[in-house]
Amino acid sequence: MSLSPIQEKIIEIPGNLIVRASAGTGKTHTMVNKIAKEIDDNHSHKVVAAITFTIKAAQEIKDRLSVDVIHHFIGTNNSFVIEEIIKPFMKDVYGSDFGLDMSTDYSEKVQTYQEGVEKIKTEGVLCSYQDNKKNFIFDLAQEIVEKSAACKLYLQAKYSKIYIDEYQDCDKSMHKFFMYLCDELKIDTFVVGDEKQSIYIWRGAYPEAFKGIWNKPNFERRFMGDNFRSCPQIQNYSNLLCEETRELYEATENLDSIVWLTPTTTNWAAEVVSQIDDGKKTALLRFSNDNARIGADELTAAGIEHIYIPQIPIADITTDTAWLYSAIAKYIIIEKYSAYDLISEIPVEGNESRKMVSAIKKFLNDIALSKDDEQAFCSNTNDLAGYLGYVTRPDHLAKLYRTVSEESFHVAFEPDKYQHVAITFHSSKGLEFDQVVVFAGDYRLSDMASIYNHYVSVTRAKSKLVIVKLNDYNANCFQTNLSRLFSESGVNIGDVVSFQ
Amino acid sequence: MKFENIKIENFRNFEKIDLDLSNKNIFFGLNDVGKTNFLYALRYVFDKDVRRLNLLDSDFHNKNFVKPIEITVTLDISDTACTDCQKLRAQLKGALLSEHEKVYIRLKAEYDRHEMLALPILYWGGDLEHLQEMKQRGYLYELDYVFNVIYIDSYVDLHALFKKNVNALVKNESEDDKDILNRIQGTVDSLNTHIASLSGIKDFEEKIAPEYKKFRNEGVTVSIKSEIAVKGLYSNIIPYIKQDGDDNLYPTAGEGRKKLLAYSIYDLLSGENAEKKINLFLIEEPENHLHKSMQIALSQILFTDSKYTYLFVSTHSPFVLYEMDNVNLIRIYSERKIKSASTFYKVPGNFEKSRKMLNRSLSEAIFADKVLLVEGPSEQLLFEKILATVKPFYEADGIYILSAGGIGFEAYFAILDALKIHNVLKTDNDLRLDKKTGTYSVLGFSRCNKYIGEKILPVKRVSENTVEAKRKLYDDNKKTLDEVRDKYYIYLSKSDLENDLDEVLHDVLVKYLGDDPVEYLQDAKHYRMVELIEQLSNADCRKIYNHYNFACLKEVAE
Repeated sequence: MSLSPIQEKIIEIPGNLIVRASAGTGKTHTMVNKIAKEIDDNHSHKVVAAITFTIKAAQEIKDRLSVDVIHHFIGTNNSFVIEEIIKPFMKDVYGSDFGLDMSTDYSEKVQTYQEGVEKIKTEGVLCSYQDNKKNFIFDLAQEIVEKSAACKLYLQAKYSKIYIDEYQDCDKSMHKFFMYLCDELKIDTFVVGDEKQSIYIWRGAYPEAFKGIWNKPNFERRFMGDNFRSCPQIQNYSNLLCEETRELYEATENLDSIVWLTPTTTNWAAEVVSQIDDGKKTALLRFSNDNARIGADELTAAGIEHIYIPQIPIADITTDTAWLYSAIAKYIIIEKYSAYDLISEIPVEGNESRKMVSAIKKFLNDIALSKDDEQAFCSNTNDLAGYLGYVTRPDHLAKLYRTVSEESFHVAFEPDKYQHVAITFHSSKGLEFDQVVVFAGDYRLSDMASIYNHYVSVTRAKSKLVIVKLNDYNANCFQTNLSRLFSESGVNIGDVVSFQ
Repeated sequence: MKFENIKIENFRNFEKIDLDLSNKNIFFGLNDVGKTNFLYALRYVFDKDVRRLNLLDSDFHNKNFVKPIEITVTLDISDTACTDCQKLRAQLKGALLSEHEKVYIRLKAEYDRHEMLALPILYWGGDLEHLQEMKQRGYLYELDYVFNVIYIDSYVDLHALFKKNVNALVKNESEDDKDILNRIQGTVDSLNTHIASLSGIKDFEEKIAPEYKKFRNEGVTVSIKSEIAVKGLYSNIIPYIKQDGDDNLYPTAGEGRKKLLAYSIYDLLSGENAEKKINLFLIEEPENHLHKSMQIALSQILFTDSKYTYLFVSTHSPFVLYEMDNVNLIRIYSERKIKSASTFYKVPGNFEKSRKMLNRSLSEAIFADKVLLVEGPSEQLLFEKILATVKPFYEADGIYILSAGGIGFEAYFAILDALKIHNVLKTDNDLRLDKKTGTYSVLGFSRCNKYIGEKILPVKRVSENTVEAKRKLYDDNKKTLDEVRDKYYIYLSKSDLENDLDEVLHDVLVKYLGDDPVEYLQDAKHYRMVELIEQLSNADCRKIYNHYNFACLKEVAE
């Protein structure tokens, strides 16, 4: 894929840089190209860190980079601070008691910082705060990096640049930490994000951080507004939602791409089916899993089969072993997923030479053969985990068994295989569909969080957006607030959507 | 980054050795004392290609399998601004804490009786008591991402070296190159067409196929091609040398030229890596095949080019040391077991101008086991003659006579002492007039006291400056002076070379040199000494050798 002029520019700009990238503007593509170029241009011993919010996004960057990335850090923000700061340097600040093996389990909760530290000392477990808007891991990393001279020198000696994706999802602690690396340790920082796509405010994400960097004097700033995904009308609709993109609005004559339905709770599915093209990829995006599941059934009953992509039981596991449960499930469920794929997902740390491919194949084979016998399955899984140096828990093994044994979960592993799906909009991030169906009642648009959620949902659509407005309180709020937002630009809802 | 120390235990000829290092290090010593093994110890730690060979039973000192082989290198990385220190830090991670200023790198290998070998395991960190096991990926350790070992054997094969690295050295990647490469392919094709059309070639091809088919009847033909068409362009390019103002090409056949070109190639290769890694140069006997003047040129490059920041050289050649400065001299020698001694050598400030002279005599002397330090060329000439007569193989026995060119002995014996090279000093019993009082200070005595570091000999001034007075002074203190000989190997003349010699051989000297031989000799010291030694008989030499006045000779020779 080639680069647009603004993407070219972004790749060339040296030093600290912040990029605001609206949905569909080729953010990941640009970042991957920038990383590749800067790795190639670098002649020193230093490496880069590419930091993402999800393992999936990190894996995607790894897959897309064609250069050798073995010495560079590509991983999630938590793994960055755990592997690069907490595990190696906690002992430098807190004493040799903390040179112990550590594992993570964010389902373990503490009230205070001190309790968190104590838990590491006594159990070797990195946990999280009861208050999900606060971030123990990053508070701890901050403390260590400020107090450990060795840690500072290490980071400065190792990293030439840090790339952070989806910056709008950073919470206050993360922001403080990353800015410390940039401003105090003088490590070049590249930040990309879009506060409009901030859908994690409920768990502490702090879009103000992104805006803060935008105004920092030591950062160059660029805006990527050319949405390559959505058609002009859908771009107009999404740009009108937020103040900073309003001026991008350009009236279009044809309003067929966004359809506003006002059906009843009983006939909505039939109306939606009449609006969408069976031959194109479609997604029903809902706030809750229940509504997504029910919606799929109703649309199917109305004539176009929709597959509900459920939340899988193992999704909420937050220990170090989480990747292994997911990999084992993929090995069993996805036909083309082999032992080699699993090996490629082993987190970078550790002595790989110890792990024999043939042994792993044998373990996986035993697990697959025992998939009808829960006890044998769990025991075989436990053996593989032990071989790889990971610890399992009985409740997690049970979740894994449920994930692989209940077929309804299997669709979640290959959502791309299905033409029409129903999912929550939280899990739609990073995906795109020709046609998207949203429910007005899922977004009251009364606060920024709700506006951002709506922005993310509608920008998943390439060529068609269907808005279902039932006659309920939330949906009416939606309509009122939408008119208000659009009127800021002197636009009526009817100028952008066609009412049916 | 600074190399500080190496400890080697139970490895090859080293039972246990503990040695200070510096960034430039020269290893020397007789054959078979372990210079190569010393470099091997370093290579096992730093060079992945050697390490992957594992350690065999013969690598254990006296096949002592009970103890592991342990090699520990200490590096100082306190300079946080130094990029080489940063390269290390970036890999050391939490193995280095805030209070640490040194890095210890340890190789440990325990013998496995079933496998009949020992697998090397590497550890490192800032706390010697709690080193971390180094992470491994394949046969690469974390260390291998930091260090790049450039090992230069004494016999470098230029062509093999060039071939092996041609892809790194010659990169034809520009747009224009694509075109040119296509044209070359066209040229090669037409070259082959031409070759194929030669009558001799055709004839051969026609004759050979039927012969082949006698052995094995299969549908083949034999055709003759240029090698370049079969193995590719790079199989066929080799370096030639063209002299300025001469259009002919000369093959790089001479060993000396080959060696210089090889060094140049190593230079380029190390440059490729220098920013990413720390280049360690391990060079074995670079003097082989090089003329003296080339060795001196090489010496200049090794000790002044910043590329060779970390240098470990073994050598037998004093010429390679001519330009030495800021270098750690490491002597490996054998008594009952292999020992080593080392000292950091920096050209002393007062020798900056006469550095070459100092370096030249010193570089010869440090290859010896015993050194007799004398004041000037007359002593050197006479003593060489005597030793050559009495002990014809004295040089082979490691005895060297060093003329200090005056009385600046300290610069020499400080280094020789530090390298544990037995040295004997012969100096004159000088007196010096003190103009104010008209008396004479006992310069020779004070010099001895200074070298000993203690006032053993009296320093009271004397009133007379004659040979007799000097002899009296000597005789009055003979007991102490004999102790100085025994304990400190300082041999003071009773008076000076000529008078002491006269005391031993007066009649003979008169016969050779006339009535006043001392005056005759002292008149033109160097020149007349040559005249004398031409006439000295074997018996004369033996007599001198056995005399009290020249006991320094026996001291070094026996």
